[in-house]
Amino acid sequence: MTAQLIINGLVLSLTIALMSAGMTLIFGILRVVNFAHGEFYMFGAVIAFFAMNRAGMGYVEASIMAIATVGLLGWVANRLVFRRFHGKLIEGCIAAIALSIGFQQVGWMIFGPHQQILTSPLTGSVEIFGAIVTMDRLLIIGVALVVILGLAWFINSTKMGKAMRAVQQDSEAALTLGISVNRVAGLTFGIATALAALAGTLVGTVYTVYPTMGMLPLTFAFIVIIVGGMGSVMGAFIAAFIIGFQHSLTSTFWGPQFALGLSLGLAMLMLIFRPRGLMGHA
Amino acid sequence: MLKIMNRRGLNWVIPTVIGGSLLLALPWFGRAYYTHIFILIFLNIILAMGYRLLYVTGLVSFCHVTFYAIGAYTSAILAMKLGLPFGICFLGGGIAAAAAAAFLILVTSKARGAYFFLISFSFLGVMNTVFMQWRSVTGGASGITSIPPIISGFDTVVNNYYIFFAFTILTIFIMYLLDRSRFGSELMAIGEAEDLAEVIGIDVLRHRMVAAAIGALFAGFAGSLFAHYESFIAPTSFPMWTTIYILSWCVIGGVRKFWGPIVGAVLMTAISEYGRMMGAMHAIFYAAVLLAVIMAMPNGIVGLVDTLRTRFGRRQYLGGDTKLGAGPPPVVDE
Repeated sequence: MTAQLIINGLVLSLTIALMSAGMTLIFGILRVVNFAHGEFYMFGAVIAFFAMNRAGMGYVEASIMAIATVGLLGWVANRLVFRRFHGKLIEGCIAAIALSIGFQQVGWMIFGPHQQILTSPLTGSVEIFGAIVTMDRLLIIGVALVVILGLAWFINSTKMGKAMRAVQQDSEAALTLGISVNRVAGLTFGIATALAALAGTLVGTVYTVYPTMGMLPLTFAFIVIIVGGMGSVMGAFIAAFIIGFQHSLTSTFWGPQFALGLSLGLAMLMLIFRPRGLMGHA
Repeated sequence: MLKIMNRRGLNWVIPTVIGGSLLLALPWFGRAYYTHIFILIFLNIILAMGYRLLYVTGLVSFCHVTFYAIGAYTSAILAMKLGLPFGICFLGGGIAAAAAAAFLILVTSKARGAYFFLISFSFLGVMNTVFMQWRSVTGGASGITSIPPIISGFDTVVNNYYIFFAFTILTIFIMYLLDRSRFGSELMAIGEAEDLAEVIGIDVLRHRMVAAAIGALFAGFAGSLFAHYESFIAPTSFPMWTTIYILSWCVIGGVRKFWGPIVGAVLMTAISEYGRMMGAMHAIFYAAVLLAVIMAMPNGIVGLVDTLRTRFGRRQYLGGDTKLGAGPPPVVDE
């Protein structure tokens, strides 16, 4: 029972960590809350589904293709739309909402209303400390952990990561130091949307793929960036674990219908008593 | 008589009279479907005008639909459980929504900008869970059915149309007086520069509470009218998207201008309803219009019209936004 809870909490925490790390990166760089993030997640799963079932690709190739395509799409979206809303919170939100509405409709048109599932390359299950864990869940945990550690390394240790942090702290000062804010923003958007697509392709093997599948993870990502502090990737990781486990525990002991409300209540309390979140800057 | 008939009078009186009589006559020559669409447009105007009040003070909320829902639920519950007449339910719905709004502003007094936006988003989610789960009172997911009509025995679409029409005119009138009052100017001042407003003695928190309460009061009234008009409400009647639509009407029309939210609400509701006939392309069309307006006209449609008028038309003082008296004309491009 306990081990099962931990596995479920871990799967949820890691997928929402992938989503919210991207959203918090975008917020840190462009000061825009990307309402369309859930649609990039959905596109990841939908493109992988078509690549597998129409083009006959394997899961791994299809996922890589989906992630690359969505990353490119994110880069283009930034180039055409988001770049113009740098620092304009409300206008940026509305532009993102417009994209979200449009993308969701595109999802309906190409995918239809049916729920589908991505066939996982790994089948069967193993027993870990008395919990029965299916292999597809293990795959999610493994891949997500590796990617999250890689992202942390990228942001902390590479030159580009340093540039991203510099732009986040003060974009004008970064500009005077010769950092191209536009290039950093484009790259950030590409990485963030690719992370969302990765989450989509991973989750698509366990839960179903459908055009509005991005709404719930988007809500989670909101909660996580509030609790973790907006703009802080480390805060987002910590908060993703808090919220993921809170959700798993509440669902098991009280019932799933209360889990989301409680998460949102936690977020509200956080905003009232410590508005900058766990790790955010004022 | 001659005094009214000068140019300025003609500019306003004739279109108002023509537009007003067309709207009054509409139910008699339009199909019932159009009458229903106009009722929706009236509702949306009331919601957008109330939303604007808090928006101009610099707090953009995400939960206006929650106040609308609180009004609808309170009114429906008062009518169903206690059997109270419509008038009391209507007042109760408005007051409950206003109290909720004032309370929300009070407890979140430290939050600004994106933080307030997200707090109000969380409030929307929490209240949605309450509506879904407090089954004994709200009926849960299946909602509340067979709510009594606004005036029993006169429950036709046409009668409801006139009720909504009258209430919308009243709302616009009250909001107009508010906008031209000292209080309205002070709200604008808070939005322009919060610290400066505080320095000249404006109590920012209290003004925001009052602005939110008045906005929510009208949202609650609209919710009550909606509940008794539709006779059925459920959590799905108040989706998160409604809030997004209200926000987009305000921004599209131009939120700092009085007529902005009205223009936005009328235009976008009409586009949205027209779009239904286009089938699958409907949402894409709506999204494209929204994106085009937000990218090309940052001050909204009314803002753009005003800018063009100053640039090409007769030079005139763009009064209304400020009451600072004589001084250089305000800069149009914000």
